Amino acid sequence: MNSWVLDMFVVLNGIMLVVAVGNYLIDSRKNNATTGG
Amino acid sequence: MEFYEILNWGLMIAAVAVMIFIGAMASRRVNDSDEGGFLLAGRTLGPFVGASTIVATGFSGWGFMGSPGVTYQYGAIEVLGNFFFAPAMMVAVLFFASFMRKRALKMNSNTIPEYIGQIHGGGDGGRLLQGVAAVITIILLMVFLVSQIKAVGLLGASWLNIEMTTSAWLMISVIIIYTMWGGLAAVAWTDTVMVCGMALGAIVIMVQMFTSVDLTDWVARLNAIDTNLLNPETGAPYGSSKGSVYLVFPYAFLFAAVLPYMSVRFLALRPDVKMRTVGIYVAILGCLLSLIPIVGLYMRAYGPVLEQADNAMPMYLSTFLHPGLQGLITLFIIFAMKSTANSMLHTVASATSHDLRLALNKNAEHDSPRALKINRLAVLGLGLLGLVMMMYAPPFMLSWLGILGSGTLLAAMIGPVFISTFWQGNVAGALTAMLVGFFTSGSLLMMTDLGWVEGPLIGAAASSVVYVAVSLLTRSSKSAYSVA
Repeated sequence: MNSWVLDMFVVLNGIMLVVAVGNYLIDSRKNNATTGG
Repeated sequence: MEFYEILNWGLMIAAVAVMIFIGAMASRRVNDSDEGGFLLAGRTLGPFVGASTIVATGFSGWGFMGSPGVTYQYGAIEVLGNFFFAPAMMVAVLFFASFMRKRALKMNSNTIPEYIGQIHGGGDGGRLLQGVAAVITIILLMVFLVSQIKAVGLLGASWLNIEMTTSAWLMISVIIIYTMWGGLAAVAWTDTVMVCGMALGAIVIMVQMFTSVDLTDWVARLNAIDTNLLNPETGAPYGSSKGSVYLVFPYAFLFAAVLPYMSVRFLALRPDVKMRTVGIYVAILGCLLSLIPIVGLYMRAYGPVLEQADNAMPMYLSTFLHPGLQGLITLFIIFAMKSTANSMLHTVASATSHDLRLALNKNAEHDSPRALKINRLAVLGLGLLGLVMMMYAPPFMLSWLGILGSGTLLAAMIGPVFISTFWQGNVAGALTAMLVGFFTSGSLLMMTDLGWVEGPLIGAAASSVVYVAVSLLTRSSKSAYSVA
């Protein structure tokens, strides 16, 4: 985008969404493993 | 009266009706044999309502009005700075909220000052901490509340074409009514409606901007004005080095994790709610709302030249949007301000009617119809006090008053709220930490040229060190132990 701040804004927004979804998937799997025995 | 003025009044009346209706519905959660009904919505908030109230409260009118103005003046660095509030809230939800909720549930804490008192052992020392935390909360949040009332009053006045004082009374009376009626449940549910409006507003604005211009032309125009707008060589307005903008992240994390009007929402979530689900909603809503300051870049490239950068959003609305849509977006901006103001009013009121009362009188009634009445009267009394204070508040420095209130409160609360959740200090450590955080951040903000992020962060660092050091130096084998 020819702007280091806007590039950083886009990248960090992406990381935030990936962390949210990744945490959701990992936590759900961990939970299923625990409750499912 | 012009057609669009009538339309604005119609929107306002419809919004008021919805808010009051929600207050009435939420009153079912209020139980006169358990103060948690009023103070914590009976710990019944689901993941979406929980996420919505956290985001709506965290993103005040600043995101819609102040931040686009700063972006207009300083460029894209403010887009990045303002954005950090979104991941900070998400990290606080994912990696801190569940610890706090678990401990609060065990101790049956209904407010943050009560949590501070109980986590440090309760008893007389705990009541002292609860009282001091309540007083600090009341002083600093009243300052912030007054600034929010003034901001919503100013915007409402131009929207409805009425006097500023009348507008402020109109807007705040509604908040007082539904908060008195339904307590935190009413605040959280109205926040949910309001954050949906705010997110819709963000989408409308983005669609208008990105479909009306060519991105290459936009970049070229900004670079022609000043290359620092897109590629700043300093971190201004956050500091002299480029890296200073990243300080907003720890500031915003502490803002979300320790400020009583933010973290009380963690306590109000239903015990079976998974933080991973709340985190997803927070990330999506935060992502949408973090786009708003881009308006400042659009105005700089395509709008008329502004004498005052703060007018970037109002001028954008009047220049580029249809008058009907302009009225609707203004309502959503008013929502952003109201959703912060109602949370602060509820927190200040509960600090007065619940925490201060219990701290001063250990035999005071709680979980009774009388206690509920006192909680409701506190909302009324402090709401009216906020309105009166607003009438005598200086007509400037609205943002600065907000920063002073929230930044200093954050510095005061880091030890007894955040550190104590993982490593328990004692009463002396918590008390000294609150006072050191309060005075360090307050004096740095008022007496030096340090930025609004640096002052509170230095106060928070000093407060943290003092919390641990004093706790270790004064600990006895009974009063302090590690829980990590």
